[in-house]
Amino acid sequence: MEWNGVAEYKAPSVRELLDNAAAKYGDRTFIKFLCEGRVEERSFNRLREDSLAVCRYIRSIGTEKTHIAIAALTSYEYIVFITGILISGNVAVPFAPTLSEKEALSLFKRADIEMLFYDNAFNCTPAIRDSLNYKIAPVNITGDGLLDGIVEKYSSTSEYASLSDCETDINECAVIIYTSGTSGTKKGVMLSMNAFVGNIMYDEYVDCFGENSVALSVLPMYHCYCLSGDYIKNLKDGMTVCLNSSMRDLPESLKTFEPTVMRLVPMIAQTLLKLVKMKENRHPELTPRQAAEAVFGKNIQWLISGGAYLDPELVTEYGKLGIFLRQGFGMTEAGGRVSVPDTKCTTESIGRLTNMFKARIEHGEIQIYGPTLMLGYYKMPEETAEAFTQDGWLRTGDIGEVTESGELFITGRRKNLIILSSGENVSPEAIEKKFAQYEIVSEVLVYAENDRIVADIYPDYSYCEENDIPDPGSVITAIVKQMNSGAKASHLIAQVNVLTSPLPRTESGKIMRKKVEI
Amino acid sequence: MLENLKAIICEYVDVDPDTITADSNLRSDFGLNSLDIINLAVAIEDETGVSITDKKMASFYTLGEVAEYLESVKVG
Repeated sequence: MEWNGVAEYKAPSVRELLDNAAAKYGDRTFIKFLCEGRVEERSFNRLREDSLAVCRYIRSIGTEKTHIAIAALTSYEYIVFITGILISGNVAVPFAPTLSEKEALSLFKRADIEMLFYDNAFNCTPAIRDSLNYKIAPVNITGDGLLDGIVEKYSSTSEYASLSDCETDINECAVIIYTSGTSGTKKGVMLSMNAFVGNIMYDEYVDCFGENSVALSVLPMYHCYCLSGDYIKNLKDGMTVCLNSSMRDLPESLKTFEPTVMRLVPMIAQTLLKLVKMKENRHPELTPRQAAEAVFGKNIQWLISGGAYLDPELVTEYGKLGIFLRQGFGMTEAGGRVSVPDTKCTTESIGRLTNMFKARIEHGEIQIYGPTLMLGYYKMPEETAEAFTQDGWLRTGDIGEVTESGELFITGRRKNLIILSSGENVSPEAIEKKFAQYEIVSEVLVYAENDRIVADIYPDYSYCEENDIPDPGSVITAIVKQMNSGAKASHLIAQVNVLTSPLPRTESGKIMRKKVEI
Repeated sequence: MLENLKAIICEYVDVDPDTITADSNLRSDFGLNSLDIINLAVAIEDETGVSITDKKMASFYTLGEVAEYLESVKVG
């Protein structure tokens, strides 16, 4: 693909990144983790040696391209094994270790899995062990002495040494990552090495990713955002990465590793802020920054949020603690990140497009183009065709805007978009957000009924009681009237239903949307 | 025990202590998410010396249930 004046965009392979990092940083610490209360460290050199041994081990089983599942929590072994898969020319297929037996059996079959690496967090049941046609029995990668044994047997001086000299085609599928599709059926996003590594090769807007920076990895590595950011990108940048494999260990990990930067989701940012408030309550003598340092450690500078809407209020609260919290935007289908935050981004934006992407708005939807888009969904040609426009741009499914300087804004989801008979598009989320400023509104759901906009509102009854508001309905009606006076004709709320019980929610806690009825 | 838990909750979320009862729901009354619940377990462990697994903690709905469990463990 032609990109930014280059005839064909070519990213380095994971092997090249690994070789370069080992040559440049050698015995400097790359990975840190807690093991039985002690801090363990692994250097760039050690990771390269261990990963090459795993690569040789895999290729000693067979050299035909194989889909290898890895269902485990974040650990040093996880990083070594996934690197071993990636540099051996096979296809890495990461899964959450919390998969049920039924899900695992179905997904492994759909993904044509022929090897399975797992850890103690994954329940490798007899059915999973016996049902598939594996090339070798499933391997517990954190098993006692397993990695040491592989490293010894498949070392660079062993008879297997030459097995790690393998050429890989960077345009072929290297990773399949299953995402929860909007239809409910998980879709396997196929990424080439060019897409997977190319995605993090963008020019940096901020200087928080230097060789002296320390990242704490808190998100699961089976997610593209974490795998490509916390591992592949930090490998390229020569940062130290500290691993936190359980949310319970997070406060301890923060104190121990004192990171400068963390990638997280809004829920973690919210929870950590509560811990800071707790410190402030317990120790009123502390300044806000001191309370923050008591939770995050003294070096914390940046928090990069992704995966869900980030409340600008949270950004403001963190600002008071001297911590720069901003959000980026990404999709597995785009190879990871699409936009990243910088110091000039507004609190409402979802970051600035990286120089790996172009964006355009078609019928309100953000569409993107660049050399790191997915190859398609594994064995799902119809869904793949739907994901792209005819001229090859990826449909993000998000409604939004992009500024001339590349700052992205999301106002709603395309699948939730209300299309009125007048042909006008109304984003229900954009209207719902307007209610956020009113304390009396606890929950709101906007939808269309009979070609009109309707809002179901569940008031905050305890707020009403505290503020002596006997009739919340009349206050809400007045708010809507005021909102309507400044709204476009198509955005007028024609009906308000004041609810006496909260709105129904999905299993993941999101408010359940109604089917659009026009 | 309930009074201890009330104190921990009040430090963690902005809530009027007088409105907290044994029937207060951890999620809907205090707005705690799944990570908050884990943090609460850690705070309880620090305060009372009783450890509660993440799974056990997630099974509680009300503050009263947590207090009852802590008392049963302490007595046992």
